[in-house]
Amino acid sequence: MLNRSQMSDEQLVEAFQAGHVAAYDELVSRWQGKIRGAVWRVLGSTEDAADVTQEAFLRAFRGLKAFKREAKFSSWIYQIALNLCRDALRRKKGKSYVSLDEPEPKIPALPSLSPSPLQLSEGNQLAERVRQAIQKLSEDQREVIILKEYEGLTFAEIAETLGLPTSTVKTRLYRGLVEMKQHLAREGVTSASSIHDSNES
Amino acid sequence: MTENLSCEALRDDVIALLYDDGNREERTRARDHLAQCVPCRTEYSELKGVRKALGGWTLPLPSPLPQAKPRLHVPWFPAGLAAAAGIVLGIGMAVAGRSLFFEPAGNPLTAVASTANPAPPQFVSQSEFQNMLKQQEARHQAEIAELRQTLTQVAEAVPESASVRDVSNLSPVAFESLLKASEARQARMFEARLAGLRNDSELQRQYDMAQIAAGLAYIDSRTGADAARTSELMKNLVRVTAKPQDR
Repeated sequence: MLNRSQMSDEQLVEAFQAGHVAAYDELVSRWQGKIRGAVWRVLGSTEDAADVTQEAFLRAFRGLKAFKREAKFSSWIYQIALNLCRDALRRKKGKSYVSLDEPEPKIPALPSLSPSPLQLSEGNQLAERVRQAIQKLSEDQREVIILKEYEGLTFAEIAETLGLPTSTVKTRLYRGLVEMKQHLAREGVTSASSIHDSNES
Repeated sequence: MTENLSCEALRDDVIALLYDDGNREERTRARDHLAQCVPCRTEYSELKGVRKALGGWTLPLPSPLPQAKPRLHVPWFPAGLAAAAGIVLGIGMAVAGRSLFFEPAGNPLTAVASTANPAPPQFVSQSEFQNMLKQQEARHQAEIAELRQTLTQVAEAVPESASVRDVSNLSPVAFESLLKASEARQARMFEARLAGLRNDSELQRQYDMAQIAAGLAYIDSRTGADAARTSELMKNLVRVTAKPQDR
């Protein structure tokens, strides 16, 4: 008999669907860090990320009985979390009248995304500029870049998560990277240099 | 133009090479193309630079969760649920007009009704709480020792055969004396029992207070404790939903 920590996601889902509800505990501990990281990057707010992550796992818990094992659990939970992110961003956009899709450089940052003094410290300047540049991407491009760059998903996994053909994923990724290059250049970060180089100049 | 079309057609392959994802043919095609197309080679190099910059955006490190452990261990009352119950209890008592906080001075462990000018309530630190518990325990030990001594004295004062001897021959004065001694003994025993019950109730209250403090600290430490919070909630969710044999 396998220990739960040794079981694959598929085996854990199967166990859950067979009535071993505790198997879900292992799935949560296995994926919540990754999901929270992705959500945090999409939303840019730690507090919202916690709420959305929690909601995603609650929804998954409710839906796992009916989950068809044709898809991977990880793709499914990413999908739930990203849908919740989109809802959260739409709500936020409605409140603040700020479009995250608008790539204009003059766009004001969302209140929760404002850099804190800590974020502005030297060590965090590059991170802060990258974060700002990512927030200026369209939702589609931002999701693909986050899933690829930070979550390490393969093209096939991203395609499954977002329900897109692999070629569309690659196109969005390419366009996102090209836009990132332009945003970073405006922020003084050249693609071939570090933040320190740009500060010294 | 032909070259541009070719570049666009090979973009997916270049992306596959950039991320070392996809099949070998795609990456080989991309390598061959980059070897002969200077603009694409330049762009490829720039995109690698963008990827390098993206790597500079790291997640904030979560701060550790405060370790507020109750002194008493009640195995049938899971900590998470106890914390929630404690918070609900605290809110309930507050709504009912009662203050369930430690007072800064005087009797430190009493529940006091709200007065016109109540002392500002405060939570004590864990070390202060431990000290208070030690003092309380020392007081109880002293009270128990005193009670034992009193009971022994009463037992010595009453003749050994009093309980079995025929009282019909006793004078009214002696009978009354025996009766009073018996009443006093029973009163002390009642007091001792009452003190025991008070002690039990006080210990439970302290446990509940520790749970409330832990629960509030848990809520206060939102930053960085998100993972723990989600994990804890999910654990509780699983715990209450799981079949007994599956726990």
